[in-house]
Amino acid sequence: MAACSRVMVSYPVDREDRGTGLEKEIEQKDDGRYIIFYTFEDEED
Amino acid sequence: LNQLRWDPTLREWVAYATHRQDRTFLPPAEYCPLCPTKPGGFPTEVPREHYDIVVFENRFPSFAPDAPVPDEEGSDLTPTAPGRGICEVVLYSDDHDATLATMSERRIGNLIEVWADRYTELGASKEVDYVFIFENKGEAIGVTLHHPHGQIYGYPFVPPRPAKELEAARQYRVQNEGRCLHCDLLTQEHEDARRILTKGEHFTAFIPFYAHFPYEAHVYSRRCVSSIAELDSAERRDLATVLKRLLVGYDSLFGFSLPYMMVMHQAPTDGGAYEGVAHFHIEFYPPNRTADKLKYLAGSETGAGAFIMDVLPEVSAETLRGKIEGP
Repeated sequence: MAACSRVMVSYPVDREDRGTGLEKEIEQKDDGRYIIFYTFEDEED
Repeated sequence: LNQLRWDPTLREWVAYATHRQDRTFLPPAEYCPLCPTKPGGFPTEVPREHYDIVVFENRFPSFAPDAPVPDEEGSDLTPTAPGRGICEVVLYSDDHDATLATMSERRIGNLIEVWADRYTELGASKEVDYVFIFENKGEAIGVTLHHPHGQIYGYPFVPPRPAKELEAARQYRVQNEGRCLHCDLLTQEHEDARRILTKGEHFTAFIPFYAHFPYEAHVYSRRCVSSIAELDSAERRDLATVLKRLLVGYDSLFGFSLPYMMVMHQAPTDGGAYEGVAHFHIEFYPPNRTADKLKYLAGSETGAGAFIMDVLPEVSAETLRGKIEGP
């Protein structure tokens, strides 16, 4: 499996009035495929 | 190799992705490629020790953004085309043993946010005419990895089944003073009530009058929205609630984690006008007709396209409704 080589972009997703934080980081694997990490401030489980 | 071949007898594209023959097949849990990469462990698809929800390009895609023009040219009768599109894998959790049914409503709600984001982003690609969000769950469906995940296909065309449904809705709208086919179906289900499984404030789950599988369930938005991206915050929370109730009910039905196919139908992203035609909804097709018997797509279903059912939706709805907690 390929590892990630670099961070392409990181920004909050437009959630309008949805009230909870959602962060989205996009990275690129060594084979060129992208991988997106969605992180939620309100995650509890 | 990603190529499309036109079937002129059914007027539909068939996608060929021969590299998928080599994809990972039911690895032991300790070698799951969808788990986080642990210190000293083998490198998985996800190079982090923990994650919430992850989306990545499928290593074995049915469609690829850079698919070349096929060497096989075909003919005027049976043309070919590059299999251009996007295939993503959506990891619901870093917990290998979780399922959508065992997750909290909040996590399901977060997943809905991700699905909406992917619909918007992939739909903006000029290569993608239809964003198809789906999950195959269970070996009975043919899954090759047990880790909780779904998939998204960004098709370079509107696939046949949604296209047929959209055309039916468009004709209904023309013949019925602009009314939405799905809104009227939902009204009919509410008035009849026998096939309702559970109702939230904004979504209703029911077994349709014309179900093709014994425990097929549809989850309809009560507001006529064309895509998941149009749902407001209250509707997204309610969708999570209704999905949770339905999925827990499914697992209670036979006392095991029920296999299913889950698919979303919504507006194509081909630039067409779909307001009042596309009505966002989710369909579940569990293959089980009993705890140990499956509904197979055999001669009539596959060769004739005619489904034969041996249980009425009213009966299966009453059984499943008895397993679902909530209104």
